[in-house]
Amino acid sequence: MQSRWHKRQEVVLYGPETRPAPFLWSEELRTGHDAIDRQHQDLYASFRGVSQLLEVPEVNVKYWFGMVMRNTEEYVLTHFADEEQLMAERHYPDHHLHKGLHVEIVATLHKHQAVIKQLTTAAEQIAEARSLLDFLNDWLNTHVMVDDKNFVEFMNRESVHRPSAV
Amino acid sequence: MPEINLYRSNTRQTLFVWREGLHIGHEPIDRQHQDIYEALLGVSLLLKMPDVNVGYWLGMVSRKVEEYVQTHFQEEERLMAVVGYPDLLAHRRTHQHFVETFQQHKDRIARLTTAEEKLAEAHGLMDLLNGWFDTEVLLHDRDLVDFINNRKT
Repeated sequence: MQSRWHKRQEVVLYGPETRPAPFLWSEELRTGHDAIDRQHQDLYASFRGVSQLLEVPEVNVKYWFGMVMRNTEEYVLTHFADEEQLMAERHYPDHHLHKGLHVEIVATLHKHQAVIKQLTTAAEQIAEARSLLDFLNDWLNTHVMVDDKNFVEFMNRESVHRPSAV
Repeated sequence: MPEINLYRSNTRQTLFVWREGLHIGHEPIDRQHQDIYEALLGVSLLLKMPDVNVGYWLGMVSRKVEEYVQTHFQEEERLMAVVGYPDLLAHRRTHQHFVETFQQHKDRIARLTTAEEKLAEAHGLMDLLNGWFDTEVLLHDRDLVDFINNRKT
């Protein structure tokens, strides 16, 4: 049977007219796994905050962007690790593919951070930060709505056969 | 030490705006003040925006303030002891009072159940913090730095 994973690349979540505000949490992002959903909500709140603050002239963009990136690192260490541990415990067949996506996004974030660090003017930093946040918004929506939901659905299906599992 | 109480600030203004008058001329203290003002300015602006996740940003305020208490207050109190600052005990009491008041507000917010109630209380907390930081920096910390500078001359 073909893995659900292979259909991932074909998914188009939104047309331009239905695209929600950046990093706005909505019920359709809920996977149904409380711990994962709570961590997702925090990440959305953090990125939404920084994307809103980029538009406010009084705010020090470098400070806020740096802070959100540090939060993201923290998130990567906890959320990705929690999720990957859960996948290993449940013998999720797409575990390594899902983990590969995590590795890939971390590398992308590091690359963008290095670019932003080298920029000297606020205007350049804001432009680069906007571009990274646009990319992250699309990546995160797809990841949560497709990849993470696939994993939670897998856990739910498995739980039917293993009622004692948490 | 001046006894002026500036606890309540003007809520119509943007809170935590850093301005030159807040520089007290002691580089490490100024840096720590600027850092906390930047963080609290951002959160106070976000709390006025639609669909804000109040719980998340209050959590961030709590972490930043607790980190500030752990580092800034302790460093300042150590500095006061080293230079023989005569108002050390009074200044330390303002720190302790701040820690207690902040905790009371956090506890009150934790007991609230709706996002609307939490948001209203969060605005009150940011207003209180703004007044407290302005008072602390403009009066108490400046008094300490003036004492250090006069001692050198």
